[in-house]
Amino acid sequence: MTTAPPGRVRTAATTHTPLAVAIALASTVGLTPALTACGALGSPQVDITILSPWPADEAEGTAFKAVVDEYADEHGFTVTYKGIRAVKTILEVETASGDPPDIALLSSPTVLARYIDDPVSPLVLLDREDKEIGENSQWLSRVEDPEHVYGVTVKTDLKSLIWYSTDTLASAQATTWSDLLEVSADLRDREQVTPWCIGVKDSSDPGWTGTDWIEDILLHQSGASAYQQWATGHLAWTSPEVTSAWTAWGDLLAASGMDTPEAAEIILKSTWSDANAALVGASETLGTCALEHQASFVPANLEAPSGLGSIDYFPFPSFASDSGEASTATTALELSVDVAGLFSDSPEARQLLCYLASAEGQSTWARKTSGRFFSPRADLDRESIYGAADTFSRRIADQIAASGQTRCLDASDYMPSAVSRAFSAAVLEFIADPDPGGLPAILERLDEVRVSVSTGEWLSSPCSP
Amino acid sequence: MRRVWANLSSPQRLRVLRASALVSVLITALGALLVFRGAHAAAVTVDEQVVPASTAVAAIWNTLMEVDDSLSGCEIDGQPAVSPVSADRDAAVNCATVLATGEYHASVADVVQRLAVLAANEISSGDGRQTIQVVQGTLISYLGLVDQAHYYLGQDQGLLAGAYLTYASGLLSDDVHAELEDYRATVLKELSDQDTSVYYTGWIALLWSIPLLASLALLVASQLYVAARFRRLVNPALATATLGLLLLGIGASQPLWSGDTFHDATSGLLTVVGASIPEDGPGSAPGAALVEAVDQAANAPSLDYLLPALTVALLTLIVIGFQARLDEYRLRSQ
Repeated sequence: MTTAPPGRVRTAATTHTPLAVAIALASTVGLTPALTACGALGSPQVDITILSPWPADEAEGTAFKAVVDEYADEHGFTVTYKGIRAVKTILEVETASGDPPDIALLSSPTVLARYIDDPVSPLVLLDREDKEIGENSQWLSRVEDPEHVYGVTVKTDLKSLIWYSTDTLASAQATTWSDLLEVSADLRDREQVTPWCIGVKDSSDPGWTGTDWIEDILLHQSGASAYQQWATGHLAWTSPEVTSAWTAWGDLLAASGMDTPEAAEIILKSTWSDANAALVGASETLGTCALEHQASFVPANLEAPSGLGSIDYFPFPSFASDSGEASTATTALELSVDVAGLFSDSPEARQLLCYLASAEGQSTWARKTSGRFFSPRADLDRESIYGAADTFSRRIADQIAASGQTRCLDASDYMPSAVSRAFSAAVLEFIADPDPGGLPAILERLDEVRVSVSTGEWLSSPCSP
Repeated sequence: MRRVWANLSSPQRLRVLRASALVSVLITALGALLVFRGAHAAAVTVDEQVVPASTAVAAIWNTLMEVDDSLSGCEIDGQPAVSPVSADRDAAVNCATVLATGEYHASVADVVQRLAVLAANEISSGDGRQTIQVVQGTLISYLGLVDQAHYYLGQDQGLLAGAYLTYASGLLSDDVHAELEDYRATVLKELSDQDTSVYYTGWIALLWSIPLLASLALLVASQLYVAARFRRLVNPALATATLGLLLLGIGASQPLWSGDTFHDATSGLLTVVGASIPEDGPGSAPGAALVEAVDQAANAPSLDYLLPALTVALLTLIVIGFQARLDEYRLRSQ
């Protein structure tokens, strides 16, 4: 049996009721701005399909589905939710067949951006004048056309964190990169634990934990402006800023004694989850390690097997200047995001997207995850959502929302796919052989990829205040 | 009722009996046909959808395991690229040699072809088809990772080549395995649905057996009435219709007596399809005996055309049986 694409032919406008016909006519002549804005009303015949990377039978998916179901119930339409890890493949198949979801959520802005000019199923333009969209500071737009917005950030995680084991390190508050090098060298000398928990194995996206290192170092060493230029294709990989970031990471691996082929093999063949477990001594293969550069989803990953009593974190350290003063880059944060885009111009889909981006929607979502969700918005009542100020979630949420800092999106999720893939491969090459002598060749290759990509593929403004 | 019957003339009584017999035989035939077709459809679904799908899933996984076995067990600089897969391997081959043959490309192409056939299976409609598309997409990534390993081997970077082969192996054992397990669950659900098909249960036989008994009663009553009224021992047409009705009952009960064969086959299949695909070993497909048993159940004597033909014959006989007596009345009245 062939069914009509949800949210398309079953809208009010296609049931041919007098009201629907009136609405359709009014829309045609531009008399109904409210219908394309966030405040549109739902119609009971409409079913909105949502595609996300969170399976409905897992905690993240269950919470998200509850948020959208609740909203749809209240507003008189229904939602068909599809949460699947291979979301990129499914979206590709569905868009190619002309049957995309009404709303798609992806953790990679650059993948979503591919559909801006899709000949079969293009993304629908969002309206920055919509209050909920406009209030959100992270949008999806292209370098050559920054005024047109095609996606909005609806979920975030903070990447600029260093987690540590309190069993191994009573206090590891390294506030500068030099401190971090010292702590690493000290741990290496003690020979009891592996200084850093690093695992770059990920069969579908190997190397992302390594790219996070380079991104965070570049951001904190050279500042948001250089980071933005680099992430938008305007700064060469062979530039002093980018080279310095790679060198700094190599220095850290060397100071930790993790620049050997043996260490490289372990790093290359361990997953981030293995590394994460090793932080609390729960890894079967990696033993115990002391420090981990990882995002705010660490507690969620560790909570079940080992409890959170033995870990803590500190912010990614600053790079002090020669005079000992911290650089201005200390006020920058690296964030990973989940971005939502519209493939259908139905009022209900637009309305739901607006709700997901709104303070109300974000608060509801955070509550349903017991504080494991972090919002890109700074205007949520964090005390009521995340509880006491000393919990991990509250501290992280406060840090993301703090004023006076620049928030930059994960550059490898933001760069064109070809560049991003080459970046990941380069990270693996560097881990396999962190000899500084081999670095220029790696960076030159990356720069060749950068210049080979057309301007239209680069997204604009990964950083925002 | 009796009063109504008493007030009817003989021709009217004959017409009532005729109409009742025709209607009840028609209901019997429809019930029998519905149950038979439902049971037959269940057996055919198992034979033509479940068995090929579960066989294909096992074949796909086994082919991928063979590829993984050769790529994970090959050696780089004298060490296994990933980890020794089979303890009884004769001698590990150098990874460069294994990759240079390009055999993995041919095997994955074969798998993709099987997936395309699987996508055409009715079981794949809906989520199943999506699962297949995900597997196809993942296999493209798999080839990319193996090609990357090949590249680094050519660059004399054994560590990286080993890492990429590890990622490729992980993609099969994690992602592809999980998707095929999802698909297997879809096949299992279809099989369970057919195994518990209502058309093979005893009580569904009431759908045709009650009207059958009513029809028999009506035909016998008509026979007795005609015999008494016209002083004839037997109405041949009605007697033949009665025997034919009994024959229809035997045919309609076919799902009841073939149910054991069907359930034997499905319970064997449930064991095979219900078993999880091992992450690092071959999956099991239905054996030849099981396939044969399912085939037998699906190809049990087909009454698809026989039942309607028999029904038409019965209705004709009933009409003829009564018509002769009604004609007698018409002639008498003239």
